[in-house]
Amino acid sequence: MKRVAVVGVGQTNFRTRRDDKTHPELTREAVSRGLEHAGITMDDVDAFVFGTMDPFDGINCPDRWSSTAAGLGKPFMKISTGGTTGLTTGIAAYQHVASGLFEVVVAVCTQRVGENVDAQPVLNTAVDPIYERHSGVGAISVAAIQATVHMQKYGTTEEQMAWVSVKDHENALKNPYAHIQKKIGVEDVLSSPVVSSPLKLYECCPRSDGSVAIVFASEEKAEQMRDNPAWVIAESSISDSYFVGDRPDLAVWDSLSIAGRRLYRLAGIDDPKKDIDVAELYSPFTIQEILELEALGFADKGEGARLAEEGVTFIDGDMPTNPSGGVLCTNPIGATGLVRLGEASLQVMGEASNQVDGAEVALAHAWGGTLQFHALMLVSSHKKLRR
Amino acid sequence: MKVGIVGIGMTPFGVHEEPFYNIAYEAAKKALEDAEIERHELDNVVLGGYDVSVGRTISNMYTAPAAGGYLKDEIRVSDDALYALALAYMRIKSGIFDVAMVLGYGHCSETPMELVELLTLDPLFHRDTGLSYQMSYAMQSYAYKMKYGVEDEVAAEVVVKDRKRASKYEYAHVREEVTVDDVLSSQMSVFPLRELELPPWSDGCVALILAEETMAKRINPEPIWVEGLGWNTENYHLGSRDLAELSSTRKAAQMAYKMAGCDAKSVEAAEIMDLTPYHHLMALEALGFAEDGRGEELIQSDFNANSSGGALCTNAHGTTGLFLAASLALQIRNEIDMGISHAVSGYAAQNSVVAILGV
Repeated sequence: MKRVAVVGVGQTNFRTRRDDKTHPELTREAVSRGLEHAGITMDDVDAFVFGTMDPFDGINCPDRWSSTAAGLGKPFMKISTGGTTGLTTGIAAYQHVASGLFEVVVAVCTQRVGENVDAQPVLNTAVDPIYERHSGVGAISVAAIQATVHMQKYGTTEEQMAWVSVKDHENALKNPYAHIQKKIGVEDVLSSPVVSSPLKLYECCPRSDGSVAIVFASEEKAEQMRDNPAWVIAESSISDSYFVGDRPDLAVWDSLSIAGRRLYRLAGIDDPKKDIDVAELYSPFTIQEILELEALGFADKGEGARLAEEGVTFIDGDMPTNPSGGVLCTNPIGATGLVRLGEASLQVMGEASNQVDGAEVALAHAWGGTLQFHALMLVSSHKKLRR
Repeated sequence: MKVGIVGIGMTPFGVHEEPFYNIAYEAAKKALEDAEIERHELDNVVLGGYDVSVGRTISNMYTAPAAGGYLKDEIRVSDDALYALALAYMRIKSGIFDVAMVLGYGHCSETPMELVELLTLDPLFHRDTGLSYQMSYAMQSYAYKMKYGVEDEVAAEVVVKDRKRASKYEYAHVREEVTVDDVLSSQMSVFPLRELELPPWSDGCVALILAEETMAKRINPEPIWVEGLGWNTENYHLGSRDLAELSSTRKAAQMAYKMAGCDAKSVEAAEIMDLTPYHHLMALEALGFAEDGRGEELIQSDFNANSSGGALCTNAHGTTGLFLAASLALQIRNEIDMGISHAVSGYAAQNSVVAILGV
C-alpha cells in the first residue's frame, strides 16, 4: 500500500454567517491557505475532492460553482455522506493518492449552514417520511435520547456533561478559527436554557459557515514538501442500519466500537489510551464525546463521563480530546469532519494552535445520518507507529 | 494489479411505484446473484447519486443498507454514479479493499427535476436568468449546430437510431421506435430541441461488483477489466465557455486513454450520455471518434454507439452514466472486446467522466 501524508492544512474563520464571501470565495480562501501551508501552488495539484451537504448551502450542488475557484480543468470529485462528509472527503482524497493515480490531491469542504433558517428541520428531511419524520427527530433530539439513556444506565450527571463543554470552550479560546470563543464555567452551562432535555444551550454546537482544505501527497512528494508531514496510518468507516429505533442500545455507540476496532487492527494499536496521544472527535453535543470516548476504548463503558470532570481530556490531561475546541464550538456540518482531520494533522506536525506536548499519533472522527455512519482516520508524525 | 467487474445488476428503467431504496435493493441483489457471491463477501460499498433527485437529504442513509452496506465501509459520490465506479477502482487499486458494491440510483419521479436543477444556479450571476437545465443543453446544441451547419435531419436521425436500439434493450425506459418525420414534427420544446430530442426523466438503479484481479478471477472466470478512467471539470460560468464543444469530456478521455494505453482506434463501442442528439455528436468527437464537426459522419456509418439507446431513451439523473457503463459491460460480456462509456453532469455538461472497459 502506498504511503500518503497530509502536507498542508488551510481553514477559514468560522462564523454564523460569512456574508463577506461567496461559496467559491470561501473555498478558494481555504485552498489557498492549504497550498501555502504545503508550500505549493494550484499548478502542483493533480486532483480535487470536494465535500458538502447540499441541503444546507441554499444552492444545490454548490461544488459545481466552487470547482471553478478550485479544481477547474482538473479531475474533481464530489463526496456527500451526511455528517461524516468532511472525513469521507478526506478518506476519498487519501485513496486518490494511495491508488497511485495521483501524487498531490486536495480535499476541500465548504459549508454555509447560515443559509438556513434552522439546520434541524433540514436534517429532519433525511428521516423517513412515514415512520420517523413526524417525531421531529433531528441531530439534537437523538443526542438528547443518548444522554437520557446514558444517565439512566450509568448514572452520568448533568454536571459531568457540563465539564465537557467547559473543556471545549476553554480550548476554543486558543483556536483563532473557532466560531464560539467564550470562557464559561460549569454553572454557566447548567444555567443555560434547555434546548432538548437534558441538553442545554452550551452543550449544543453552533451552526457555522466556513471552509477547510487539506493537501495530501505521495511519500516522495510529501518528503520534498516538508520535514514534518502527518502520515496517514489508517482509515475506517462504517454504515449502520437506517432506523434509529433499530439501534440495540443508545447508551453505547457499538457501530463506532466496531469501526474503531477495525482501525486499530489496521494500525496495530492494542491500547488506544497509550498509543493515541490526542483525539479530535465529532461531538456537537457533550454527551457524544462521552459516548465516543467509551466506544473508542479511551474509557470503560459508563466511565466516559468522568474524563472531563477529572481533567483527563483537558489539554494537559492524559488523553487530550478536542484541543481545537471541537465541534461544540464550531460546526460547519459537512466540513466538520475534515476540520477534525486538519486539527489532528496539525497536532502531529507540532503546529496546532493549542498544541498537545509531544503529540505523535492523533485520531480524527466524524459521525453522520441519524447515528448511522462513522468515519475515522489516524495520522502520525512517524511513517509507522512507534511500537 | 487490475480491477474487474464481476457482477452486473440492473432494474428496468421507467417510472417506478416502489420507493427508490427498494429499487436499489433489487439492483444490488441482482448483481450479487450475477456474481454468485453473498453479501458478506463484499468489503465495501460505493454509492453514486444525488439527494435532490430522490427527494431525500443524505439519501445514502437509505441506499447504503439497500446495497448491502450494513456494518460495512461505505462512501457516496454525489454526482453521476460513473464517478462511484472511479472511486471504487481507486479504493481497490490502493490495496485497501478487495470487493466493492458500486450502486447508482436515480428516481426522478420523486421530485420536480427542472425546479431542482434551477437551484444549482448561483444566486448572484445565474439564478435570476431562470435558465433551465434543458436550456443550457439547448444553448450548447445551438452553438454546435450553427458552428458546423448540422441539419435538423441529422439530429433527428440520431434520435431514430437511439430509439431503434432501445426498442430491443430490455432495461431502456423509452422503447417506442420513431421516424425522422416524427422527430421533426414533434413540438419545439427549447430551441433548437424538439420534444423527441430531449431525454426522459427515469427511475432505476444499477449495481456493479468490482474486485481486485486475483479475487475477480476467483469470482468470475471472465471479469470485465476497468482499463482506463478519466474525469474533469469545466468552468461553471457559461459565459466563459466555448459551448460548441465538450471540453471536460475531451480532457477526461485523454486521461482515460493514457491510463489504458490506447486510443479511440482500439475501441469498438461507445455508450455516451447524449442528453440531446447534438451532444451525441459532440461526445463522439470529444472521445476521439471523429474530427470536430464531423461526428455526423459516424451516424451514417456502422459505428457501434449507444446500443442501449443512450441517455435519449433512459435518463435516471444520478445513475445515467453508470447505466451506460453497465450496458457496455453487458456488451463486452457477449460480443465485443473493448468499449468506452461516458457521462456528463451539471449545466451545459460542466463535468465529465469516462471509463474504458475491456476483456
